[in-house]
Amino acid sequence: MEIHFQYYLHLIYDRLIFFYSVLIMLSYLTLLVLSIFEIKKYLKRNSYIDHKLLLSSPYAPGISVIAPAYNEAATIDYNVHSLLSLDYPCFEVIIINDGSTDDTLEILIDKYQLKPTAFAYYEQIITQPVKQLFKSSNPVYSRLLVIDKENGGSKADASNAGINAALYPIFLCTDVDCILRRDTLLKMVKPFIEEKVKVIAAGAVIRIVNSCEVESGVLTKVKIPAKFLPLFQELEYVRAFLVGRMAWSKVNALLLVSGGLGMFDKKTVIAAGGYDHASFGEDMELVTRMRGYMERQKTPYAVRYIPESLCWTEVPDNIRVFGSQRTRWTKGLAQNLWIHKKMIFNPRYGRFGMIALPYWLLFEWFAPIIEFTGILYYIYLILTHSINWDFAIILLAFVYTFSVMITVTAVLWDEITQKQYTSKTEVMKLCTAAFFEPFLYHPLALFFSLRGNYFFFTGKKLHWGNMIRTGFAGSKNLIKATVSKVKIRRKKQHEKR
Amino acid sequence: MMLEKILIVEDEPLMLNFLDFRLKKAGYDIRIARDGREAEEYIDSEPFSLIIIDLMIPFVSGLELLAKKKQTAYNKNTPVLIISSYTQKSIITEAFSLGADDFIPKPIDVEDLITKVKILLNKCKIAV
Amino acid sequence: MLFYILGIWILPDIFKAYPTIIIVAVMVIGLSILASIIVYLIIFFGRVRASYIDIKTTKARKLISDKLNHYLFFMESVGNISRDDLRRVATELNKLTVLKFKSRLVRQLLIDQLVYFKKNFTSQTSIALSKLYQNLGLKEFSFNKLHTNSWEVKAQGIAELREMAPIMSATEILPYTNSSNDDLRVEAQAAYVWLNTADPFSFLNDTSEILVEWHQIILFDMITKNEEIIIPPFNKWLNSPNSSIIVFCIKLIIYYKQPDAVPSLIQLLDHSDINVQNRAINALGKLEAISAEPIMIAHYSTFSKSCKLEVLKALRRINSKTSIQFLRAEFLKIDNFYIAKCAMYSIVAISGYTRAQLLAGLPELNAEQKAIINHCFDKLINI
Repeated sequence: MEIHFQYYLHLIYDRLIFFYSVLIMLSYLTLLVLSIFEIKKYLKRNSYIDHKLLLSSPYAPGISVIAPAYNEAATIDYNVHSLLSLDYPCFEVIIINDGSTDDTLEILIDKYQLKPTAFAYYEQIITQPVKQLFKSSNPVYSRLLVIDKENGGSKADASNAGINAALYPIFLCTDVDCILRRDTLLKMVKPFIEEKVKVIAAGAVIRIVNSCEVESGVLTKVKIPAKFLPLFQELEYVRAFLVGRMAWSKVNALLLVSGGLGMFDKKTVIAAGGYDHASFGEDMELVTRMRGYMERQKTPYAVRYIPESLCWTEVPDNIRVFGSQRTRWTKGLAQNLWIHKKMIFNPRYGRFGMIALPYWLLFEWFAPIIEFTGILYYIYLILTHSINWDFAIILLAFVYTFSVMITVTAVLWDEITQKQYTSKTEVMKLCTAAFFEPFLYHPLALFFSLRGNYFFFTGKKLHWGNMIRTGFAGSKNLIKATVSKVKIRRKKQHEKR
Repeated sequence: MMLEKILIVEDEPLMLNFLDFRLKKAGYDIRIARDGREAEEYIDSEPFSLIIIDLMIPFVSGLELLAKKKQTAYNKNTPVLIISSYTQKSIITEAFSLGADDFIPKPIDVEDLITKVKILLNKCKIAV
Repeated sequence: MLFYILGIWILPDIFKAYPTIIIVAVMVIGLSILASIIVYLIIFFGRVRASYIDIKTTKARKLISDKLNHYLFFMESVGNISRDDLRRVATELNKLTVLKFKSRLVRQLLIDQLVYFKKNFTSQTSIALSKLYQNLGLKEFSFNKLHTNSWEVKAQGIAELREMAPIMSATEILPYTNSSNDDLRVEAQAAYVWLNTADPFSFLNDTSEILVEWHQIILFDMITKNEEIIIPPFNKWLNSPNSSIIVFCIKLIIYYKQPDAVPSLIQLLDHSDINVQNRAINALGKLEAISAEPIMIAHYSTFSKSCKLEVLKALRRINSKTSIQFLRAEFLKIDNFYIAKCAMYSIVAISGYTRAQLLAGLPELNAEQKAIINHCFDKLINI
């Protein structure tokens, strides 16, 4: 019995795990190659183009900018202001005060001279009750709409309220504390109007604001994060956005448009049921559901990413917050794949079901778990003195050098796209961080994603359905198609956002 | 005689450079502001005969400047000339309703600009 | 496998006894290290080069901009400039030897600035810029771009020529109006329209290629900014099998206010493409085609929801009191919130009723309907 066990253990870990990691590496290489094609294509298409053409065009599509705010009193004033001063001819800014317990709303009312209105709010997607809608009595701020609603405990719920009130066919979902470049709308709307197929969502690169210079809600100088955690997160963001997202965009199988900055086709979002307020990764969940919806409708569509850094966000710089964020992300990923498990390896969902979802399942969700068991195996080998140190070190170096290579190349892609940092030393710092990432930062990330998985697997089951209002007879058919009851597990429904 | 003082608020360096150069040659005393905040400081602290504003400027938008100008001690009644690449009717009406005196769309006809500057300056004198 | 064979071949002897996996791993390690070093060097030298270029361009930009300002002012004040003066300025700019004027970089900078000015100024200034462009020999520089292999450089060349040298180059650009690359083709078509050629609208005869929104925006801009172009009646393309062409022509019909197109637009109400239907209804509204009002109302029940909303908006634009009865019925139907809201907006706009007058003419309303009426009368919402 004992011999059998060891035999299989060795078989699995000496052969299968090796092939698994080779497979992951090959997939990274493929993504690396695909992404540079997509980046090059984007750069070419936009090299001679004047985006300002849109400014004077009567046919620039209208955009609703939606930004939920929960206890943001410290910065709300500037941040709303910077959203209002985006360059675009036809847009509105919708701020949702999600039951803040501080004076976020009062500050807004005071600064923007808000007055309650008789806005006929129609709840296409059910949310926590909306208390009041405000508009500014000052014509300078006529683009601003503020929704005051009861706290729904999730960004999803607040965003849905914004979508309900949105006037325009396209909306941009962001966070009030994200800093957007002034031309964000001009750049992000372009995929929607330049593709022959219907574009249902688009995203752009998000960067880290921690050490950047910001004056009254406007980014004035990009600087590389000075602290340990943000620095490595920057590296991770560059890799995830410029390699991962761009490559998936190339094959039109993108699964995730980040919550910090995503533009969506409103009709499709509503048809798919809006954000899922019980999800831990509502951004990924929405895109997955939208794709599922479009595939079932058999309408050609695309989800696009652009390689430009348009949004700067603050990331956690202490382990505790970082840990809870990562735990939540992992849980969100696991939850999302679990909810949509019927699409995985389902040819009906095309490339998305056959390639993208399996990739996320095998290489994103399972990778940390497999890695962890691998570590356990090594410990077992050491304890039983059966380890071949030469081989172990070679295999370790094998994984290490490869991952450094991928990361450094991602930094190169960033340099090719746009040189974000002003000084050489900053780029070199980022490159050097790539050397330390595998043994300084990666163990942390691994630990927290294991924790996320632990929470996911030990959580309680619950029934949960998409909620859409069925007020008017005409909209019922639409709703039937999208309401699907699914089982998900969750531990705490509402963590701090 | 004192030169008439004009404030130009524009963030694009080439455009700013040109306007600055061109209006100086035309015989005016020019102050330049590269963004809305600089402009605010100017209009708060000294009187101008005319203010030329591009609608798209960082920090404080052109429309906000228009509204704020009305509350200043020195420039309550200073005429404002708007320059913008936005040509949509709604935006232009908005600017006028906020107290802009004239509007020049980009691309600019320089002679038109100079004439409008002259007209606005004269208006100002008559009013005084 | 390949790695294994390669490994056996090049690795030192001690590795040869190792299992396949280890040999492959060693090979990958070697390659990764090599690749990382190369990438590092590329990043480093890329940065060095970039900062060198940056210093150079900042200097050049400043010099060029100063010279140009002087020149432009001079041009305008003298009115039409003589050949000699022009040559003098050209040689002066040429003399900026610090810049190595002949370098591609500086030339491109100069072109970019000229294009920028050209986009921002009209009349005298604009003419002066074109003259300067040609005298500096930059036209040839742009022309050469048409003969490169990459499409985006060609497109850039076309854009520059279109912007700076409007009198010539139509024949050079013609071949690209049929390019298989959508972006290049549209750029060429835009230039073709701009250059006032014999048949600027031939691209509208295209039956198969979809003209995406963005390209429509480019072409729309070119056509409507060109004051010299002879505008044909666009309804002759309204029966095109290409829906995107129809949509584009409808936009132009609206812009040039061509009421003759109304009958053709009415026919489009039966078009198979909902987007076309939508645009046609929109156009009928914007053209204030009162003759279309009864037809749209008659068709109403067959339309999709988005078209219904368009009809309600169109009726608002047509602004005839005869449609109020219909709008009132739509409002009272309690079928769809958005339709009810749009109908109410139109009623308010057309009738000019106050809230009291309006309520007097309506039966008992439910909460939703009352909310809609309040919404329509709220001044803050409807600025």
